[in-house]
This record gives sequence, C-alpha cells and structure tokens, in this order.
Amino acid sequence: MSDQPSSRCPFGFSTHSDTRLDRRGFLRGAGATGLGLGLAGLCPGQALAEPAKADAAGHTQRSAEVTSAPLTQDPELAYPFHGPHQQGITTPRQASGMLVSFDVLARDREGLDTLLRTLTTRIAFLTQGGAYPQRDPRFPPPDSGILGPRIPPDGLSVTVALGASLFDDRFGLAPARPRHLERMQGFPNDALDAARCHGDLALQICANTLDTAYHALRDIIKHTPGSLLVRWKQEGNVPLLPPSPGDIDGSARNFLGFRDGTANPSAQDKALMDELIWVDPQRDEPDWAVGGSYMAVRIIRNYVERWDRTPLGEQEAIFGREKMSGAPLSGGVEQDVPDYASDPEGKITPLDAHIRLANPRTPETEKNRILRRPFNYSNGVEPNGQLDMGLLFICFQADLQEGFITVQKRLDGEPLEEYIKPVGGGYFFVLPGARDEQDYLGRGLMAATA
Amino acid sequence: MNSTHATPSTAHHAPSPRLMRLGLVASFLLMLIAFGVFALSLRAVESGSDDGTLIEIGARGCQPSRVEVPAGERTFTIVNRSDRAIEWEVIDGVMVLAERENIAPGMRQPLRVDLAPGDYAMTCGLLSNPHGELHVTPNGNAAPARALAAHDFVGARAELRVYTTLQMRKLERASAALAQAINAGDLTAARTAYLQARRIDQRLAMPIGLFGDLDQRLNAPADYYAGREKDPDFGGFPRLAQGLFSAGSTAGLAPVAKQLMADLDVLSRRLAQASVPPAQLANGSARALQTWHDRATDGEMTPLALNDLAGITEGSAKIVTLIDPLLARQAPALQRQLDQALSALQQSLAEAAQPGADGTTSTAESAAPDALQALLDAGAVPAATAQRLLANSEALAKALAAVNHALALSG
Amino acid sequence: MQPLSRWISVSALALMALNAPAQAAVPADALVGPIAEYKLYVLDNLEQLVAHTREFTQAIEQGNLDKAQALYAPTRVYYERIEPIAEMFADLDASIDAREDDYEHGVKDPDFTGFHRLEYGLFKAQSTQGLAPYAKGLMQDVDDLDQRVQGLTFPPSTVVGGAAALMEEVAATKVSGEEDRYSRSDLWDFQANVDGAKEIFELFKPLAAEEDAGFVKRVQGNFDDVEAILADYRVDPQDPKKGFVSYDKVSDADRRALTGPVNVLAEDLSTLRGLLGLN
Repeated sequence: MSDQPSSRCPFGFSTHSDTRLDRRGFLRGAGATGLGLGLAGLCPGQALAEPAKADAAGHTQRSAEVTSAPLTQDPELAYPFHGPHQQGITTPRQASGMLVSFDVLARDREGLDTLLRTLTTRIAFLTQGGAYPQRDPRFPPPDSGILGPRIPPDGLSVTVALGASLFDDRFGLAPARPRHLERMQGFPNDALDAARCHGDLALQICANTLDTAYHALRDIIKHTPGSLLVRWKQEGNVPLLPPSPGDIDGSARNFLGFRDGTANPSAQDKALMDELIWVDPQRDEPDWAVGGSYMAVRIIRNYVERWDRTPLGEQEAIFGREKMSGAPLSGGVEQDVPDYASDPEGKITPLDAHIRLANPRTPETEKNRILRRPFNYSNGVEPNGQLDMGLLFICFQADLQEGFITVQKRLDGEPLEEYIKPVGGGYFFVLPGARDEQDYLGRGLMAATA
Repeated sequence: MNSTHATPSTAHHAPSPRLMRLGLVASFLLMLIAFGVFALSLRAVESGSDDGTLIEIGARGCQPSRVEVPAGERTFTIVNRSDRAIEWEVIDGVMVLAERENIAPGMRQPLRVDLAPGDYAMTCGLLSNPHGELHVTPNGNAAPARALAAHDFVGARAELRVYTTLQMRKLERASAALAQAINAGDLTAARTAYLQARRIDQRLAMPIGLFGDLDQRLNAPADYYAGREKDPDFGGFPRLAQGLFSAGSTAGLAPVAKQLMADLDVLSRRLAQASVPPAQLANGSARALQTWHDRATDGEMTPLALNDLAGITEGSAKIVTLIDPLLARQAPALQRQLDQALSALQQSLAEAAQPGADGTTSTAESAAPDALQALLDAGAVPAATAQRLLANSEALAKALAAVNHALALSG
Repeated sequence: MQPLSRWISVSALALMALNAPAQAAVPADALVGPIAEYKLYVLDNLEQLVAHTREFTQAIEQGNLDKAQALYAPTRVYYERIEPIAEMFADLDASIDAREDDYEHGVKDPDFTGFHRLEYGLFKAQSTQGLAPYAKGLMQDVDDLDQRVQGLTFPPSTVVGGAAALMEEVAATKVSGEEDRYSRSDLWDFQANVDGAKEIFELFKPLAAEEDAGFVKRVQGNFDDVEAILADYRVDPQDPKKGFVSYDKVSDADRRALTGPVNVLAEDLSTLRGLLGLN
C-alpha cells in the first residue's frame, strides 16, 4: 500500500513525484522559489501543508520519515486504505495516536468473520471521510457528531492487529498463528499491570487530532456491540512542530526531552521496509501473513520529576545524545551515524548508553532494526502527586524475536531504567492490507483456516 | 352612592331633588348598559343564536330520524314532545360522543357537538325506541386548530386506563360483596355494600358512560324505561337502590345483582381494551356532573344522590389531575378555575357528608358510607347544603366543559 | 449456547437499519394500552417491594442477621425491575439505591443510606448493629416511592426509553460487579434489570413489529441469549426463587460473554423510542 496521501485541494497539487530529495533539500527549494507560499492561499486552512504540494519534489517529502515531527493539521489529508499493507506503519506519524486493545466477544468463526468485515467497512469509510446517512431525530444519531456533519479524513489511519490469545481454540485459528506471535513476557524492569496488557485484537488509531481518533473509536464501538469489548486503551501525541527553519528537521521529542526515532529505518526505502518491516514470502510464516507485520506495544511510564532533577550531562550520557540538537555524543548532527568504532571503551558514548545498546550499528545487528512509531502520553496524577506521563511505545518489525525482543534484551539493565517503568502493552500481528473493495482485513487468515 | 359620585361638586350640600332624580336615571342607564354588554357577551360565548338542527323526540323516537350535517362544531336543539324526561345521545359505535340528559317534557335543550365525518347513531328517548341516524359529511374548512398533538394526551389517557382498571377491580370486589349480602337477605349489609359499590361505579361514570348499552343496563333510571319501575328491563344500580332503600327489602334483587355482576364483567373486559379519546376526558366528566346536577335539581336531594356525587367528584378529581399539566401550558387561567371549582365542590361535599366536621375525611372510603348511613337515617339533605352542592357541581361541570375549547380539541 | 452467535451477525443488520427513512409515528391510540399495562406492572412490583422491604427491614430491626442477609437480594429485585420509573424521583433514588462511590466520604458519609448501606453492614461488617435507623429510613422511603408512583402519570418516552435505560444500567454497573460488592448478589439485580427491560419490550413488541419485524426478532433473540447464560448461574434451575450464585463464581470469560448480548441489546433498544415515533 502506498502511503502517499491525497488531499482534496481543488487545485490538484497533490501529485507526488518519484524524485527523492532529502527533506532539507526540499525545504531549501521551497524557500527559494517562494511559489509554495503564494499558492498556499488558494486552499484555505491548508497553509502549512500546501507549500509542499506546490513543490515538484512532492509534499510528502517534508515528513518523509515515520518519526519526523508532524508538520500538518490538514483536515483533508487522507491516506489510501486499500493496498498490500495496512496504513499506520510507514505512514508519517500523525500528531495524535491511540492504542486500543479489545477482547473479542464473537463466539464463533462466523461472528469473527462479521467483525473483520465490519472493521474493514468502518475503517475504509472513516479514513476517507464523508457524511453519515441522515436519520430521524427521534433515533439515536448514527454518529457521535464530534466532528460535525461531514467527517474529514484528517490524516486518520486505523491499523488492525491480532493478539496471540485470538489464536486459541475459539475460532480454529491456532494452526495459522504467526510463528513469532506470543503473549508478551515481562522484562526485568517491567511492572506490568494486567489491566493494561495483551488483548485479542488491537487497533492503532492515529490522526492529526485526538478528536478524530476518538471519533473513529466511538464509531467502531457503536458498530461492533457484542463482538468487541474494550480491554484497555492508551492515547498519546507528539508535539506538532512549527515549520521554523531553525528546528525543522528534527525528530519529535519525548517527555524526557530527547528526540525519539532518529535512527529509524527510512520508510521511503521500499527494499529496506520489505526486509525489516513486512513479512515476505521468504520468511517462515503462514502464507496469509505475507504483507503483515509484528507490532510491539509498551506503555512506559517516565519518572519525569526525578528526570528533571538529573544533571544534563548524566541525561545525555544515559541516552548517548545531546539533548537539544539530538546529535550523537560523538559529534555531528542528529542524522549523523554515531561513531562507536573509535570509541570502543565508551569514553564518549558510554557502552550502556540507550542508543548504543539499542542499535550498536554493526552489520550483524542490522537485522534487529525496528520501525518505531511512539507517542507521548499523560494520564493524570499518581496518588503520590507525581505526574503519570510516559511513552506509548509502538514499533513494527517483520520478526518479533529478531526485532523488539532482541533489542529490549540488549537494553535490559540500561541506566535509563532508573527513570522508566514499563507498565503495560502487548504483542500483536498486523494483518496484511485489504487489497481492494472486494477484499477485507483478515480474509486470508479466515480462508487459510476454513 | 352613584348620585354623590355623579355630582361631586355638590357633595357638601344637601343634594337637590332634581339632581337626585338625574343620578338615579344615570345609574339606571349604566345598569342597563352593563346588562346589555353582559347579554352581548353571553351571545358571543354561545356564538350565535341559531338553533342548528332541530330534533323533536316523541313517544316513539326522533323526528327527523335521519339527519345529515357537515363536519365541525354543530348545534342540535332537542325538543321533548313526550310525556317524560328523556335523554339524547350521539353514539359512535358503542362510544357515547355527546349527550343531553334529563330533558323535561315540553322543554327544548341545545347541545353543541364537534363532529368528524362519519356515521353516528342518535338515541331517541326511551331505550326501547329505535336509534336515529346521524350522517356527518366531510367539510374542508371545519377542522379546528390543534395546538396539542395526539401524542401529548397519551400519558393522561394511559393513566386514566390504569385508574379505571384499578377502580374496576375494586368495583367488582364491592359488587360481589353486595350480591353476597343480597343473597343472604342481609338488608343492612346490602345497603352498606350498595353505597360502597355505587360510589366506585360513579367514579367511573365518565368511562362507563362511553358504553351506551352497559351504561343503560347499569345506571339508567326507571324513567328511561317504558314501564318505569315495573319494566322488566329496569335493572342495575337504580333497581337495587329502589329495592334496598325505597322498598326496604332484598326480595327479588338476587337476579338483578347477578346481572349486574355479569354486566360489570363485560364492562371490565371492554375497559381493558378501550382508550378514552382525548376530547372525552373533560367532556365526559362534565357530562357526568351535569347529568347528576340536572337530576338532583328536579326533586329533593337524597343521601343516595349525595353518595353518587361523592363518587362522581372523585372521578372528576382524577381527570382534573390529568388535565392540569396540559392546561398549564395552554390555558393557565382555566386551570386555576378548574382547580378552584373542584376544591369548592370537594369542600361542600365534605360538609354535607359530615355535618359539623371539617370534612377532611369525607373522601376516605371507609368513613364516607358511615357518614352517609347517618344521613340516610336523618333523611334528606338540608336545603342550604343541597343548593351549594348544585351550584358547585354545575360550576365544575362548566369549567370542565370549557377545557376542550382551550385545548383546541374536538370530537 | 449455540444461539449465542446470533448477536454477532445481528449487529451488522442493525447498521443497515440506519438508512431507514423517518418513522411514521405509531398512532397515539396504540400507545395508551401498553403504557397503562406498564404502570400496572410497576404497581404490582411496588406492592411486592413494599411487602418484601417490610420483612427485610423488620429482620434487621430484630437483629436477625441470617434472615436479613437472605432477604437482601430478593427484596432488591422489585426495585431493580422498575428502575426507569423509580429513578425519576432523584431524591428517593439516592436515599434508596445510591452506592458508597456516590459520596465523598464513602461508607462513612452520613448521607449514605438505603440498600447499599445495609448491604455494607450485613455483608461486610456482618452485623445488624446500628442498622436499625437505616432500615427504618428505607421503609419510609419505599412507602414514599409507592405513594408517589401511584399518583404519577407515566411519560410515554420514559416508559419506552426505560428498556434501553435498564440495559445501559446492566452494561455500566452489573457486568463489572460494582453494584452489590459485598453481598455479591449482582446476578439477582442483573436478572431483574433484564426482566424490566423485557417487560417493556414485550408490551411494545406488536407495535415495533409493525415498524420493523427484523428488529423484534433480533431483540427477542438477544434476550433469549442473555437469559440462557444467566440460567446457568441459577442455584436451582427448577426454582427461580432460590436465585443466583455469588458473582464471584462467574468467570471472567463469562462476564465478557454476558457483555456481548447486553451491549447489543442496549444498542438495539436505544432505537425503540425512535421506532415508535416518540421523542
């Protein structure tokens, strides 16, 4: 599936080009011509997004990487629903995201099949936007109405993934279980809260605004009574970065104040995505799973008060990066590859620094790379008066063992653990995409187990 | 007083005879004018003096026996050419839409009815007389404005149905006790039971009145039968009252009580199915009160009539509580008038049923028959009390009769 | 348990109904009978509630702990069945049926009274000590409720909407087991709420069937499913009076299994008012 979004600007500038300029190059181009800003005024409400569209480089370039700070709030931004892969993985991370885990209440395969078809129909509608049918006002309205009479796509993506528990004996799915899909086991630093773990089915719902995500969730709940029961949910967001030249090309910051997602594999590199993120036919997985991906979710509480009382040097040593610029301690800018070769004893970048453990930058650890798509969350206040804030960590990989589990094992015992506490999450398998109007999410799985 | 006001400048002098005369003339003229305005206002209320359709009722039925009128609010003038008091009703199926009772021989009585297109029947004097036909033709411009939707009355009508259902259960229990006392030949117990049963029956006067046939069998007075008291069809509560209180015996009453029970059984099944149309809530209650009033006006007011009024008033009170919320929106002045008329009637009834007491217990079901028993022993209701009851019952009937107009209801 | 699959396919059907055109209102005449019947149902239950509350509160005042514990759940049934009407009187609903969570100071709050205050004493403190004033208050409140409901003209939309309200009640507080946290008699209340909702549905079923026969069939099926699951937890299937096992005995899986048809019923019954053309 292509993640090139379409926008409904009547001037039709949404054509994208195959030219792959890097983001900084594009911005220079836009700034030089001045053409973008001039035309932007033709599409009211899209001022921030339109300069990109006016440029021959194609507007998606400005947020080419998944974890780049989002720039746009364009309500007409719509990501295509149909394709070989689902949305919400290589899609540039939206400003708001939510992970909702459900118990599936369907009692048999027929019920599960109906659920999957219903989800497909709802997501296809919600992500493209439109109007609900009118209804006699003496009935409950068909829509929550929180987005007004016409639903804008608003950059919405909804990603459907299945938990290991769905492959038990209820639906006869056991023989078709993705090989690495398992129930998440606690790591040494975890304090998992059962009420925020696992689930039969998870939805990753992301959009420009949280309201759009809530709207989608309520629509789906209203359409699946009796088949889905919300088990837990966690929403989060990433700061929308204003396109000021000085701070434009950084990854968004997490609640510890550090840029997060810098070394993500490039979503623009299709071959790399096929290698690291998508299950392909070469892997030892059921045929139906091709085009899918493993999703690891972790709710990681940050002890922010304590962190804020930690010296800056220590913070930077813990992460292995400069806090403000995001550059590796070994020098350069954020995107530069840290130099560990000339620092075997960790004098510049400590050996147990977060980024060094997570990605040692060696040929043999290349296969462990994962695509991170996290959001910051803030839930209120703990009984001790401390803020309940942290990271809704979400990552995707073609092999859960080689991906998240291996990376997390390398991180076990890292100094950062003093300031973080994973409390929830789970492992899920993202279904392959629905290819066209006739297809539905999970059709392959149902057919393989029929 | 008028004269001094008319000549203020001379107030400190002794008024001259000429001025006195002028003042008297002036005040007389003022009185005349006031009276004229009053009369005019009356005419306005009656909206025209035309007699509408004239229907003469003789010994054998209506003349004409077939009437055709356009839909809408229509006036009928009923002239009684027979030698006894009669009633005239408009009947839709088994439901009574409108009626004028107790028209004395030789008298004429007007009746306004809001009619929807369709075929109706008219009762014409004696119950044995054939029904007349009333054909109402469609009339494009006769539909009254409807301020309230039919759905606004659903709650009140449902609540009335609950009330009638619960009262019917009581009525059947009370009537069973009455039949038992009669079968046992226990006159005292039968009298007490009669008062109780009849009082409940009268609470339901409005809904029962919607079923012409049953209303007749249960409640029609002897006058309505060709053979009066001797008529073989004369039955129901009036026949039992005649036996228990006039003849002073339970003799021959057992079959009447048995038939009464059977009729109540039919009635309860019909009431369980029927919904009182919105327009009948107030109109039907007004009719029940007016009928009582008209009958009580004729002769002396017996304690039995007082018992009837107690029941009718309780039934009307229920209707008033149902109508009040609807009136509060549409006609608050009428609502106040209705509430005042009701409490005035309840007050005078309390005084009549328990002379000397404050009357607060008069509506309690157990206390009332005892009080009435005392009255029965004492004989007739005192004239002053009777006058108050007549005036107050008519006032409530009139207030109730004005409700449909205020709610823009018809038919 | 086979029919349980019905409510899955059913929810998709419910969606199709969204496109239904504006409903022609059911004639007002047709609503009068069912609403009257419903009030008679409520009055019957109130009569039972008064009688059972008398026995229950007397047991407390006599210090008979075992008897009071045994009567707690069966007494509440009559309140839970008529909740859409009972809760129209906010003051009495609070003093009769509020839970400790409704009060700032929880069980210690002086305003915390009624069934759940007595439940706390009888099942948590395991004593009738100090409960007599609460028992007396409950009896007064129930008598008061009885009087008020007798004189109440039932608003049609409250009656028809009551079916959905009861299922919302089940979905919100019964499945989670919050309602009777000390006595664990949640299933009694659960069944009573379902009874009350079903009574309303049954009364208006003929009218609803004229508007949408599929709706009626669906709702009927879901009621059957809920009752089938509940029946598994009866102490004695032959004797409904013996009631239900403790909610502790209901597995998490079955709690979730109950949630399914309950949510579908809440969703479907929320359209009943519209279907009958009531505002």
